[in-house]
Amino acid sequence: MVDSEIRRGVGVSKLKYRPFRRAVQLASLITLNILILNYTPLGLRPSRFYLPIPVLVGISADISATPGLLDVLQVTLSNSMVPLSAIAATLIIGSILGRALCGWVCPIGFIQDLASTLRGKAVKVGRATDSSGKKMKYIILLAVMGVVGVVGLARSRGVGSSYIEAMGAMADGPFIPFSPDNILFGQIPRMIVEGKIPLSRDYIGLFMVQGVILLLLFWGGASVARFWCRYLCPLGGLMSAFARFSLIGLRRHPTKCLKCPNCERACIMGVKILGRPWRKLNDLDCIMCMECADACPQGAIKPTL
Amino acid sequence: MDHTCNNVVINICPPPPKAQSKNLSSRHDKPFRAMTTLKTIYVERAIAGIMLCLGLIILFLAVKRGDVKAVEGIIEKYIPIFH
Repeated sequence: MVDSEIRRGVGVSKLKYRPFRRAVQLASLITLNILILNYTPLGLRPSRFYLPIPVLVGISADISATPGLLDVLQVTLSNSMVPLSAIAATLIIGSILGRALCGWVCPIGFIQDLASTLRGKAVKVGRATDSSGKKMKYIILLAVMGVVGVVGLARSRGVGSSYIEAMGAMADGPFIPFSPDNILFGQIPRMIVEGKIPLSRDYIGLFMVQGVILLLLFWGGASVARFWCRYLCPLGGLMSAFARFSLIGLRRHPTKCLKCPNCERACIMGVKILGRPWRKLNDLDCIMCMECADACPQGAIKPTL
Repeated sequence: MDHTCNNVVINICPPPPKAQSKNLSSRHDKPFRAMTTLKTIYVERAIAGIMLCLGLIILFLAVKRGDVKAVEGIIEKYIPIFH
């Protein structure tokens, strides 16, 4: 077999993960927003369940089947309550799957994948810009947790009530009004149903910021693969702390691998796969989307435990 | 490692072919790094195992304490705030 044939993977048959992942993402989008059936004349009345899962699902969305983990953490911590179920879900899912739910289940991730598929061509981000941009999500996470921590502490001590009152809804969840899941699945459907846009003086500023966030989600997601997940998602930042130690990871077969950069080019999170250990790859940003495995002509990349 | 037998040098461990050594060119793939990498993986697995056990213990406590019901109550109370 000549070298060019080896590089193209002639004679190597392998499973493609992308169609399967798209099917799982679509099923998750429907399941996580199943309460939309309550607004249809079908007569089905599913009810909300309270299992905080580490994906972006809007707590304020009337159609969401369950609140997202980040929203639960914000609301409970700001009310001086230790969210044991949310901590347990973070530890259990994080230690087994890492950030795999970002790649396979998160509806916001699915929307970004669709946006980048429709656009077709991605903008290349420089390594230094990418590396410093990825720190943004940790800063957002720290800021959000800092605010809810201070509010929770103030409430438990019974101090600063005037400040908390002035913060309004932001005191109970500083990131909730800016979270794209709450805007897309909560605010926009409500505006459609109620037939009014909140253009009053009190809400115009927030409304404009939400517009910018949606623009970042769609335009950013179409230009740079998983723009929101890479740079801005605080939940992604939280789960990436566990992704480093998760049981599931990627294995790059050392002799099959030709060190061609196909996997790195295909990686939607910009992970430098070839510079990582071949035995098990657990990167902070790896969402186990398996695009690298699909792109590998030799079938050298496989999930491993 | 060479052994001399009746003045004939027998090389029982030939150097790896060029193509294979090229495959092992990454910093992490070099043989002397392999054990360190393996130890790192075992440490990572141990940490994941500890986190999993901790998560299960906290889940048990959450169920015992009725945390899910409490979270449900607080969320139901606060959902209209974000409307």
